[in-house]
Amino acid sequence: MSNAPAPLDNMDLPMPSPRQQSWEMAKRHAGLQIGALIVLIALIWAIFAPLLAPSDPYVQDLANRLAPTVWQEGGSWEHVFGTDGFGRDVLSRLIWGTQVTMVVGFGAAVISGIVGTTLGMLGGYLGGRIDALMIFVINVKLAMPGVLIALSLVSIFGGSLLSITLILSLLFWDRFAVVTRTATQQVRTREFIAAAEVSGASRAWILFREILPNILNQIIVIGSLEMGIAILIEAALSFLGLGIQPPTPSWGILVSEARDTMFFMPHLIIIPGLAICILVIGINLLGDGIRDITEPQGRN
Amino acid sequence: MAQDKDFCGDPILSVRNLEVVLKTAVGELQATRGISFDICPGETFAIVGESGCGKSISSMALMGLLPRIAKARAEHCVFDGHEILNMSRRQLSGIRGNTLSMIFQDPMTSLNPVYTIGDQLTEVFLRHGKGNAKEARDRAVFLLERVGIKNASERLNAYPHQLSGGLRQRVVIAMAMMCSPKLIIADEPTTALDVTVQMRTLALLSELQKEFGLAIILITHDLGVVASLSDRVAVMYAGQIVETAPTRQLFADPMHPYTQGLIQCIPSYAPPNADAELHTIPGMVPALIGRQKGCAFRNRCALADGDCAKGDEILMREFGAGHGYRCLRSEDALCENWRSLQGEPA
Amino acid sequence: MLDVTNDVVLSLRNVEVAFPLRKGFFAKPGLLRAVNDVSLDVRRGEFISIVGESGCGKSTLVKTLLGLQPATAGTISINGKDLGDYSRKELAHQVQPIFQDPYSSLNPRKSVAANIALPLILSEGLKPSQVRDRVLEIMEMVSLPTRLEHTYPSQMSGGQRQRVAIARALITRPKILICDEPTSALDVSVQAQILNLLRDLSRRLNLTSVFISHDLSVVRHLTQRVAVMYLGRVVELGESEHIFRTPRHPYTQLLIRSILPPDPEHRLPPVAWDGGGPDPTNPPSGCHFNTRCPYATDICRIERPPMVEAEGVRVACHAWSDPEAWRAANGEIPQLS
Repeated sequence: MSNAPAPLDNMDLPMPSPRQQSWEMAKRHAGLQIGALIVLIALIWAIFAPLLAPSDPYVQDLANRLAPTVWQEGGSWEHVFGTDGFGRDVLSRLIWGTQVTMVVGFGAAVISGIVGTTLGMLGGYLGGRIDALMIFVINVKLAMPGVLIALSLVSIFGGSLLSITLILSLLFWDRFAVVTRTATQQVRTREFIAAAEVSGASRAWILFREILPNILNQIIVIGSLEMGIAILIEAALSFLGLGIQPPTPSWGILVSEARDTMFFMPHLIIIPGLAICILVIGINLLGDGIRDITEPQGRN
Repeated sequence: MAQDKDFCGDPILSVRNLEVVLKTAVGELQATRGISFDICPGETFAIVGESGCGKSISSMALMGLLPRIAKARAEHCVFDGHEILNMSRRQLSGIRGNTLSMIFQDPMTSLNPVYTIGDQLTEVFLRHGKGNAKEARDRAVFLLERVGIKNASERLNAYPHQLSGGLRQRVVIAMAMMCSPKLIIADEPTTALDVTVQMRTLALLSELQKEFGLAIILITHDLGVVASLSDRVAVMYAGQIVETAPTRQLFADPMHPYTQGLIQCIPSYAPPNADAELHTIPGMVPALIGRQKGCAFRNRCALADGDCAKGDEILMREFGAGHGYRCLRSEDALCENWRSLQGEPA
Repeated sequence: MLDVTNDVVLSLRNVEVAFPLRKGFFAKPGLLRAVNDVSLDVRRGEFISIVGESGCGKSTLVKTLLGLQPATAGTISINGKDLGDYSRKELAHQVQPIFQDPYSSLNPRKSVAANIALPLILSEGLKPSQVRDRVLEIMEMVSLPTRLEHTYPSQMSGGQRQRVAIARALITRPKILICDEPTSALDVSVQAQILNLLRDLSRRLNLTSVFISHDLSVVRHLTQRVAVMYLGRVVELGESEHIFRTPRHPYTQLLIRSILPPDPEHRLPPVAWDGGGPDPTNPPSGCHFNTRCPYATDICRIERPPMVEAEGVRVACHAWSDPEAWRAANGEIPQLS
């Protein structure tokens, strides 16, 4: 009896599946929940802007300029956050502005993510001369003053949504590349990679089917950080008048336009500023939270 | 209980009912329950068990090195006259490295890579106020030579990465001895070393122990190490000590079914029967979530019955001087089991 | 009795695997001969062990046998055909590995079934249902309950994971298994289960196994022939029993003396530091072991000993090249005391 293979009944699994574990952790992770909520609201605003916004963000109502907010004296529910210097409803402009913010933020993070991750993985896995080349290119990029170059490029190519997104994505790929390169180097020493190589896996297979799923964690964290930064830089560019051009509502433009009335109608500058702040914090919380709950549930 | 009697006249370390609980995402894990043992001055006491049995975490609890998610409590935990379990950090650091030191498993990470060997050796000496810088240096050279490192005074200026694994482990041993400890806890000190180096390192520990009269708690999973080096052994399984005995006794007359099974499944050095299979212990270690009841080994034990699941804890029974085991079966049944296990081919 | 026929399944001839070393910007590049002139024949159905400590070259040899690291000299042939002539897909049906660390040998992001199926998916164009059938078949063979199909490695213990690794290695029905310390990271009781399993499967499937280990008691129990390696060279090669009873090479003797049996009567020998393993990038001249050998003489420091046949075992030691002459000149021939 003692020489028989382990009886089937004793093959219990002490640990729940990774998915279950992640779900359990998610239920308890306040940061993740808050972050997810914020990002979800932003997404809903961005997608359903035409339905949610109480009025057209472009329509001017010069008779009703600088109307007070609903909680101030004389305010009404027609303009919850009041109106701006041209009589346009602030809330509507805020909601429509979410579109710009999300497209730029998400787009820049995704594009730079794809570029940076691919380069980082290639360098980390292939090593040797290709890796040396990657490092060289990354170093060149790191040495360049990013924002300055972005400004020059914007002045050349103009401030359309597409060009801003592409230009900003050029700024961030190096961070992805550095992190994924190191992460790839660590994963490639693990024995399951050797087992796949022995069985004839092509390089592409190993990179995208074996290594990538195992470094996704780190990519998500960097991605969320970069998305937050992209949003901030877009706002800064708009603020400087170099990014998205008015009258397109972008949160940066809202902040910029509110400069003139900053001292006697501070809510006009605080509201978009706060929106930027909350969204960036939300994105970071979400990224951290996802990283926390998907940490490899490794050794027992 | 066998160990409740003062087996040693005046134990250097006395632990009663040590319990360590870990708060994890899947619930409360009882890492150890009711561990009790005494260490006599100058003896080598081995704690042997497989992964998850709680041997390392018990020593961490003694040294105050538990992670935040762990909580330890005990009836008492007296080292050299002091109750150490819930000592303040300050008091504990007066003892750690001084009268009580620890040797860890991985020589690659036990030493700080940015300081020289000499700095690390002398630091512990000076921190405990054992003397001045020159005395510290002299002692470091003396100990390095004693552990077999040639050109000791030059080696003081070497960095850890310049030494091989075996050498580093010897430096770690020297470091543990700088302040003339009364007890060293060695947690798998040779597991990460090559076989030939392992043997020599263990022989070194044995010599140092006799020469300096220190007590050693040797934590290991290797019964060969236990047999060669220790005076007494405690066998741990799933957080409990299931058997404790003088080493000779343990190998001659193991009583607990787990101990018996464990000894039997080692591919022994004796010439094999070519067709024979190794004895195995079927199943695997249970998850220790929540309060444990009865005998943790029951679902892998050929002799288990309904009674084994009851009660908070099975009490230790005595089988001879200093030999205790935790099992409900009669002595005859257990001896018979051992005989039949040995009678099997290989 | 394990059926060992005489046909040679794996053959190594003067295999060398060397790596260039840069010893500083101005120095000439040196050469690290991780595997140095290794010759070996493995017969079908045989369990052969390669034993040695760190730096002996066994890890590099494993990579080379798996086709992951090309040999810089010499030939390796499997079933008569040179290793290099096999395509990757063909090779997957000839040789498969079982690695040491059950925690890193499986992809944590894939289910057990996906891990096991990988070699099959990569090397054969089967339909998903066919793949699944093969996966379940092999899971039963290694005593893994099929209900564990969709679980993840992180939910499993070390022993269970190693069974998954074994299943993965066997799914393409290879002829040769390269086992690189498959039980070193496992508990003793689990080790016994896995070793029994390996032996059982080897018999059923008529596998040939190259078993790398540092644990001599496991080696003695499981394998029929042993090759002892030191700094890239094979120093002794022969039947397990011969080698364990009367080891000839002083290094083999040292290894055997270092075994710690679970026997309280066994006393540790007095400590005698011999300098430990030398630097593989700068090995001693002549016989690599001469710096640690209690029997070393002048010739050992100058000339590399040839591999000779001595009483059924092959040894690379000057003393055994001409035992009579050695005894006359130096008195004592190397033996286990």
